[in-house]
Amino acid sequence: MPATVTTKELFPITTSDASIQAEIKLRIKAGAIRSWSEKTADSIILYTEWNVLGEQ
Amino acid sequence: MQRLVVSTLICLFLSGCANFKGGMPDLPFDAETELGIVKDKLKDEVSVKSYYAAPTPINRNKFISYRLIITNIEYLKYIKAMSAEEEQLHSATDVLIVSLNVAASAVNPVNTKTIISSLSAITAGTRLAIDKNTYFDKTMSALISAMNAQRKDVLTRIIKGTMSNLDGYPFEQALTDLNDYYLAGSLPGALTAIQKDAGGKEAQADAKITQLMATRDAAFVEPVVQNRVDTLLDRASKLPDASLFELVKAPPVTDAFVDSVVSARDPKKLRETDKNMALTILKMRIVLSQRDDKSLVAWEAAIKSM
Repeated sequence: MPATVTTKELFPITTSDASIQAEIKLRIKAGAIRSWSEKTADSIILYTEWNVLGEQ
Repeated sequence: MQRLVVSTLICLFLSGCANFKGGMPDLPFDAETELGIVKDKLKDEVSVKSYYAAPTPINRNKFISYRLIITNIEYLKYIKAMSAEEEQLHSATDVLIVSLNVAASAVNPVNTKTIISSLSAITAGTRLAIDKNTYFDKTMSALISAMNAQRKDVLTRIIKGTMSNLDGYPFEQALTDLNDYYLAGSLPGALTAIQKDAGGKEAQADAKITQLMATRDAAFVEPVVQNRVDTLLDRASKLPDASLFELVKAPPVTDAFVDSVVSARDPKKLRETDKNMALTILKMRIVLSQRDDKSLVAWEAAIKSM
């Protein structure tokens, strides 16, 4: 399993789906492996997985 | 005539399998005879009861050595059966079934074409059987390797113990270790060792996963702000190499969160020498960085000046 770094960003619960989708697109464009959101009671969490450079 | 041709071929195939020894050669001694002698000797001279009648390190070691011999002989028989005889049995059974099916279909037809197609099916079916058993053999080899490794671990512990006195290596501990030694040479023992090894590797991989957290506000996701970030990404892709290295080395906007992510993603600082790595890190910095107007202006100005 290749080493990865996962960032976790907390967005206000009122953030629209469109805005979250736009954020996901930006992260993919910036080279992320994948990015996804999860809704909790008081926030939206955006997870993004990045590869560690030089490791496979 | 057709029946004769098919029967002859089946016999040839089966006799070929019978001659194939595969796996391992026969043991260079009569295991049954030797095991019988050792078992009798153990029964007569060494037992748990006889040890407790005269509990000395010598009697403990005598008991251990006899138990090891018996366990080793049984283990040799065990792995020989798994890697050779079992494999042969499977292969022979598969070939027999395929051959009989083909024979049944070949008896009734009368033209030559049918005979040839049936013979072709025999060949293909036989290859399938051999391939299947090659995988079986490889799996068994892996399991036997795991068993051998486990057994060596336990044996080292036992041998060290025999060098101690009864306080340092009690007889009861020796019994436990001998039982471990026996279990190490079993399939459940091998599977446990493999699972343990895989679990350790998984834990190591998990440890490599770093998670970093930041909090964003509503302004961060304003469409106009997102568009400015998107444009910055496009412009970063068109930067010449020298500018890339310069910006990645001294970005116009920094914060602790992004710095931590950069360090985690590029611990070897490949971004300083590889242009693709530099661009990757620069783009990530742009996306994850603060997006207040001052920061965005700083990014735009820095990229425009290159």
